[in-house]
Amino acid sequence: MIDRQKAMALIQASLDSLHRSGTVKTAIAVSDATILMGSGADSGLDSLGFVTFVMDLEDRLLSDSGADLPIVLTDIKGFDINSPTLTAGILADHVAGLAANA
Amino acid sequence: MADKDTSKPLTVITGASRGLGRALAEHFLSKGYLVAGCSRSNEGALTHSDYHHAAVDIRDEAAVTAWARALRRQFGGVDVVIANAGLARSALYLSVTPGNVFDDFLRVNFAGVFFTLREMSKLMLRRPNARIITISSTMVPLSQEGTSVYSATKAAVQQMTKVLAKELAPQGITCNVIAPAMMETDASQELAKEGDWKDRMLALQTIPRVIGLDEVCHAADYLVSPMAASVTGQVIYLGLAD
Repeated sequence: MIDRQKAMALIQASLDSLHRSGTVKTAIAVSDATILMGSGADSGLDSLGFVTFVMDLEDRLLSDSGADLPIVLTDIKGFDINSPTLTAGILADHVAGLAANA
Repeated sequence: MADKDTSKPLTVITGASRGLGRALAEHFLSKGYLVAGCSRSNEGALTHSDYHHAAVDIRDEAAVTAWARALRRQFGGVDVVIANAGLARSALYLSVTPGNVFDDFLRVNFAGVFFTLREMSKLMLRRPNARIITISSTMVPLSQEGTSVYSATKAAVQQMTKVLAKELAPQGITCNVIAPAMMETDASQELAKEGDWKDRMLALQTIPRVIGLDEVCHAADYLVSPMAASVTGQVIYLGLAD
C-alpha cells in the first residue's frame, strides 16, 4: 500500500539513487517543501534529470506496488505547466492518489 | 511481474510494415537486434521471433504514449529509434493544396515524429550509446514545386532533430537525420504515375539514380555504430550533394 509517507520515502530513494549515479550533484533530504522542478529547485535537476527522476520513481512504484502508475505532470493537482514548480509534497500527494485509485 | 527482455539491444521503428521501414526492420533483425515496429494496422507485419509489432497510429498522442509504456514494461528501455513513418502523397502546388491535406502532412510527418521522439527518448536516457535517427528527404534542399507542405514538414523534422541532438548530447545520445533522394517505395511509385515526375526528380539528383533501401540501412548502420559516437545533429543526404 503506497500512502503519502511511502510516496515521500520513494521520492527520497529516487533522489538518493540519482545522487549516487551523479545525476544529482548534492545529496538532498526531502521534505514537503523541497522544490523538485522549477525556479530555485533544491533538487538540482535539469529537464532531462527530472525526466530520469520521474522514470526512476515510476519504476520504484511498479516494483513496490505491482501497479503501473504513470506520472503525468499535467495531471498533478497544484502543478501549472505555464509556471512549472513542483514540490515533493505535491508529488507525494499525487502519487498516493494514483495508488489509491489503481 | 514478468522479467524484462534485455537479451539484445532494442530498435524501435515506426512505419515498419512496408517500404523503408520494413527494410530497416529486416536489416536490424539480421544484425541481431530486437525490433519493435509499428504501423496503423497489424496487416503486413513481419513475422520473426525477435520482432514485436504494434498497431499504432503515430498521429495519436495517447496511442504513441501507450506503446512506449508497453515497450518500457516489456524491454526496460530502447537503444535505437528510427522515426520513419511518413506521408509522401500529393504533388499539388501550394495554391491548390486543401487544408485537410496540409493537416494530414503536419499530423503524420511532424506531430507523429514529435510524439515518437518525445516518448521514446525518455526510454533511452539510461541506455549507453543510444541513437536516434529521423528520416527526411532531399526534397528539403531541392525545394521542388508540388512539395511545399511535404518538404516543409521534413525540414521541421530536420530542425527538431538538430535541437534534440543538443538536448540529449549530455546523455551520450546522438540524433541524426538520413535524407534519401528517390527510393522505390509505394509513395514514389504513386507520385511517378504523374507524367515524367520520376525522370525530372532523378535529373535533379547529384547521383541520378534510385537510392536502394539497403543504402539507407547502411547509413543507419554507421550512425548507430560506436564509430559514430561524435556524429550528432547531422543530416546525411543520400544521392544529393547539398
